[in-house]
Amino acid sequence: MPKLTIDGREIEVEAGVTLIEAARRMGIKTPHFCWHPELSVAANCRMCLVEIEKNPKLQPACQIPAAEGMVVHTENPRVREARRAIMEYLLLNHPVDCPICDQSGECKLQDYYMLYDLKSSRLASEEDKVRKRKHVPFGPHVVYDAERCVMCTRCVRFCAEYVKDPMLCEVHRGDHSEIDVSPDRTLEHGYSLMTAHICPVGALTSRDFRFQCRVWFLKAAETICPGCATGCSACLDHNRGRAFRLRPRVNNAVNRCWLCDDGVLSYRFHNDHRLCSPSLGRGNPQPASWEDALSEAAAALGKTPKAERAAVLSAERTCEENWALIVFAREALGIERFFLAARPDGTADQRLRSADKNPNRAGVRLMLGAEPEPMTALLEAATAGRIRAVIALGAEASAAGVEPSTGLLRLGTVVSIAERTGTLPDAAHVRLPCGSWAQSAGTFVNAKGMAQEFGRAMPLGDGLLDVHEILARLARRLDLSFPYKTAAEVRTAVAGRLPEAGAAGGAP
Amino acid sequence: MEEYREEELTLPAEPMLLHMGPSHPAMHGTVRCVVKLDGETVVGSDVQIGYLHRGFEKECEWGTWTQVFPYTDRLNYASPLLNNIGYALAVEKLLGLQVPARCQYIRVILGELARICDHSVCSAAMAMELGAFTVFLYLVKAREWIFDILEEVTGARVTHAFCRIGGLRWDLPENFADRVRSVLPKSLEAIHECEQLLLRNRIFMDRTMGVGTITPERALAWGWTGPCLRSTGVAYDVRKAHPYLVYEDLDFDIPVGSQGDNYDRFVCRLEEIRQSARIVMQALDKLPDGPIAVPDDTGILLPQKLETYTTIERTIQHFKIIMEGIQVPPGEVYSYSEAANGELGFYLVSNGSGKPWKCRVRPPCFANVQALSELTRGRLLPDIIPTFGSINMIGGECDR
Amino acid sequence: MPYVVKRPERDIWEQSYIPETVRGMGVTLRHFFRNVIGRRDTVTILYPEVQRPYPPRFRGLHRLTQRDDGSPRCTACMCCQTACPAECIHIVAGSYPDGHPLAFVEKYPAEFWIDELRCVFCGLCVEACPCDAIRMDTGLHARPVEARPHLMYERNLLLSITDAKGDVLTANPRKK
Repeated sequence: MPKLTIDGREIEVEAGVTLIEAARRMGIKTPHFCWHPELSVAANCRMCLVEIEKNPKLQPACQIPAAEGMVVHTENPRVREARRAIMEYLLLNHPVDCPICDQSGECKLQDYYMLYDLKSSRLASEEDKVRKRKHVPFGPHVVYDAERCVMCTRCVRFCAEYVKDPMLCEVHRGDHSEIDVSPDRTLEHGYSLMTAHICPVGALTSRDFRFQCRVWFLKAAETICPGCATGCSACLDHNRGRAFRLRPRVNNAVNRCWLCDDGVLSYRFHNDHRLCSPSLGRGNPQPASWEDALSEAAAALGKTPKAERAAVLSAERTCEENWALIVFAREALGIERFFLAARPDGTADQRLRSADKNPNRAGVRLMLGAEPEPMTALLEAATAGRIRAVIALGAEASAAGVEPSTGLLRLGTVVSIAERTGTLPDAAHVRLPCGSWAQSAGTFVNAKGMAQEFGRAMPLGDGLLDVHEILARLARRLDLSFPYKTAAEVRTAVAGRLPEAGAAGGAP
Repeated sequence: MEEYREEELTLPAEPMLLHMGPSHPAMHGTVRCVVKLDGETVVGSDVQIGYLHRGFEKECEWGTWTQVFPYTDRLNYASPLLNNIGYALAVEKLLGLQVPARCQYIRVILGELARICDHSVCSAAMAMELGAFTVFLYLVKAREWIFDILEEVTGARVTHAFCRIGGLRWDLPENFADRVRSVLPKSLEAIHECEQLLLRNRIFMDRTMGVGTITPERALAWGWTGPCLRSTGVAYDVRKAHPYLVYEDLDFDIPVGSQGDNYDRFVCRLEEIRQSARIVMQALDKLPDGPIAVPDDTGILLPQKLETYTTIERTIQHFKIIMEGIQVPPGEVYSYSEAANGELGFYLVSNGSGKPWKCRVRPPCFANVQALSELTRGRLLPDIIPTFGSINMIGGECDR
Repeated sequence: MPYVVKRPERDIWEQSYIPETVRGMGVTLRHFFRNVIGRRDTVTILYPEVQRPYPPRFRGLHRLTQRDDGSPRCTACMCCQTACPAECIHIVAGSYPDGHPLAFVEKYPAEFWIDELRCVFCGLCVEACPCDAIRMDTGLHARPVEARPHLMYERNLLLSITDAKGDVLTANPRKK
């Protein structure tokens, strides 16, 4: 294990660890553009140059492995001048785009300029800067601006090494270098937004996020992506009740530091097609107050005989919400038949995307203690008249090969607890709006069986209620008891049925 | 019918409580004085401040270091520039910055002009409450000329927000020196007229001499500073005792009183106006050329506009300062300067980010107002009016 | 050096009050005759018939500056919205579509609202603009209105206000 000294302090690391990683472990932040812990080393930006004693030239810390007895300086005048010079070269041809560039606020050029440069430009005139193409669409999700590009080649290496599809390449030479997509191809390999995420400057930006909100207004909240059963760790960026994007969060057991395109765009589950207030009536829903809607729901469910009632659990909602519905259905309504509402399957790949596009199918199974019946069974029972009233959680319900709405419309009563419009609320008599996944605190169990808990990313808006609160009020109206008053009580009840943290695949 | 003899009538003996304020013309600055009266004699009084509390210190925690400047204007709103200067000095102390000489001289000049405005309006209000409405108008006229100059320099009469951390917002306009040199003598003449009207006026003397007297020891015990303290005879002026900016290079005297009563406070203020005018004239003569702010390379100020429009480097600096605020290293500092009412202190705590962690203001008139009940005990009810006026409680500063 | 302020003696001249009355009346009558007969020395003006011009630096109502073709110079960078201590500016950014003559500018303000009622006229927005797109040199103060929404200034209104001399200039020499 080589022992080396960085900035006067000793550290011992395993063989093969680079200087930049060794410095990071000591809390020293070395500036870099092209280095990324998950990609190969390119050492082309030269920003991480440090001085190693007995070595006449400055060396890139991202490339040099730690060696026994090395003495490294990262903060002396020579290194400072090198950093200043690199910044000057990078900014020489950089366009004056900060006002229109989305990367403002999370741009490495901005951060490093303040830390290592702060000098004025020595270029005679802005007209002398090299002009290149701007806002070139690389694919459906990503826009490229060649003038802002610092040619760090992170995007090129990402496509080649992680996606294993080297469709991006460097073209031209010198200060006319650019990145381009291979001819007749577009950047749509399912992880294209990651190229924009790892781009240290505003060269690659997300088309979806373009000009939506300035980055420094956004608040970040930790959450789990609700896009599929992989359950990648993510950060939701939001401002003033609107979500803007998901960014990956490091989780070495699940997604390392990546997120697929569908994951980044799954913030739309919070923004789009939201139900804002309770409503009554099929086909042409009329807004109603909570009292009226709850009374109507309780009456409709109450007057149906027990054997003809059923509950629909949702693979899109958290374990806690599904458990609350199970307890309510069994104890308050005497329901014995549980069905599952889920999103239809989609594309899968070997990296992050699961075919199952529901975040919590495994969780529902654990809560019920058995496999819930599929939606096709409910449609059959409804058509046959064996089930007449249903209380349903969740918005989307797909049935293999069948259009669910005709079957659902046969049901006499459908009470839907959902956050957005979809198959179930559209066929419901009573819609009781709850919060989106971002507005709930709970647990998703992913396809590998890992239970991942997340907190409320955004506050519950006006006119919305938590699922357990809705069920408690319904129970009151039915004059029956519901054992949970707070979310914490539901959580405690659920904890016993979930796998331990650390079991079945690793820590969440 | 029974005849009542005067001596037999029993009058109520317990003192009467009279609420003066907060919306009372004499309680300028919204303060309530609950006075216990025995006839017309004040037996005790309870001075209740806080009616103008707007949460200045909490609001400072919301925005960046630069966004505090409009709030500081609204502290002592009779001399807003002195608050701007005090806050800028405090943050510069935390950053370890020294502003260039021209900036220091301009700050001194504008600060002293603000002090003249403050003392004028304080004396004007006090005189008006004693019935001398003409004096009020003369002093406000004197202040009006100075406001015109301040509007030409800063763009507003009262809400200047002129200082920045590390410098000033703009340089002085071309004709500033000529304007000041023509206006100050006129203002001083107006003040001289007010002195002629009041200072040997028997009514004024009767109402202010010997009223609201305080000894230097008691004043120091209460924490008094500024002209109120100097009226008792203690010659403490932060500009002399702990010089800052360029006060060391300027020649001025400190007027002190002898009795510590309302009369001395009134005259001390008018004399301070003269000394401030002296300072302004000297500073105008000595005003050097040069930059009005620290260089752009320190990364503290927004860079020069033309470079911001055309170069990426300065655009980046501009954006980083606006988005995140000035990065002040973690630490705490207490910085004090001589505001119009006394020692204005800013106690700043920084956690290393672009937003203040804590910005505590030590308002000079807060300490002065504490003693109001002691000053008025045993005096008559009308004595409260000139006493309160001579303390110069500015609500914005006292309550923040 | 500290010096003690003078306190007049209370001798017969002060106590009788007559010399003081004469002196005081002299001061005020001097002003009276000067204002009536000689040069006027007052600061009162007969507003609104007589108006004092605002100095060039006066911070009045806002205006958005224009490019040569009349489009807003503003690129919706949100610096002014960030710098405003009163949070009175609200901007929604828009993107020029491909093929538009200003597509090279890329970003523009689709909506630009300033709530002049909330504004404290501090001028931090003007300082914060990296493009000289917003200015407060209109020489106009906020006039009284009959309903609050009338002082919510939206983008086209702000573009149409000129500066005190009637120009719509900007000091930004860039084409973008």
